[in-house]
Amino acid sequence: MPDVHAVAGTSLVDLLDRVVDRGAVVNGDVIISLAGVELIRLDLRLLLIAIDTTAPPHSAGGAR
Amino acid sequence: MSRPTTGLYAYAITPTATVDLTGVVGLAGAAADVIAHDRVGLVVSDIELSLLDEVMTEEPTEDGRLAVLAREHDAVVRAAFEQVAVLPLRFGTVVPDHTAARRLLADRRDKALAVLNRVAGHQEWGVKVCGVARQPERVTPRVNDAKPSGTEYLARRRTVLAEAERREDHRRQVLDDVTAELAEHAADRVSRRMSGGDVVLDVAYLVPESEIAGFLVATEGSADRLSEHDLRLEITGPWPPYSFARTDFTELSDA
Repeated sequence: MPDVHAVAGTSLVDLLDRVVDRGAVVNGDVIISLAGVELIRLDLRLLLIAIDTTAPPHSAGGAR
Repeated sequence: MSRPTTGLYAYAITPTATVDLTGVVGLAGAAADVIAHDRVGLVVSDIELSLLDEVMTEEPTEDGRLAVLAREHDAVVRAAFEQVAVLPLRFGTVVPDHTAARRLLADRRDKALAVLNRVAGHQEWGVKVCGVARQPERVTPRVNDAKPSGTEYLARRRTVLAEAERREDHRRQVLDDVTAELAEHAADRVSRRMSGGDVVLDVAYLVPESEIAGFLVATEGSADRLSEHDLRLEITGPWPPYSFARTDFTELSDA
């Protein structure tokens, strides 16, 4: 049995994509409406983080 | 009606209320608890609603508010997931009080149990393949050719493009083989939205516990094959079945 508790290379993108963008959507009168929190898809912002975190470190000082 | 300032933050639905969350803390350090209704459970913790104000409009960073809250959310879902099957709820699900929590469970019990039944005894594993797309080589005139004729140039160019196309087809084939092979160890899979950069494949697999060892061995073999094609395989897991909680409770089943 491998060590299944070793979460290798889990990035913030992987986490946010699951926690914020997946999971069952519950709505209706039992839910408190939190302005802008629920049912929001983070596509664009996640994409931005992904590009930030996958950029090779040596390119950080590169010309823009 | 005045807007409430506190509520119950809901993390997941469980097929039983018998979950020991002693010592488990959720958002802002609030103690996690299980609310029971008709033998299903809702994992919750108390929340000051202001905690979530504007959280989605801030720039997300590695140690920003959203990242911290998402990790706290994940920690509670995982604590429950280590004991029982879980149906994770979307981040930001808040109900006013215990009565509302029980009504949530009562209204959605059958639908939730159907999903829980499907994910019970499984783990989610993420597989991502990254690579750099190769550009077709340019047609460079040979040194001993003063100048290739138009016909020669086109012929060479066709050869170069055909070669690039063949390589790309081969790479695509290897990717298809790998996804199919991994799927043999999984009960379900879902392609995840590409997270940008050089990601060419992003798939979540729902793997039965009995298949996890085989799945992991298969990913190692896949990683070796992919590396021959300038592709890198990354694996994350185990996750609670976030990507397989595809239940939309917008329409209630008993309506």
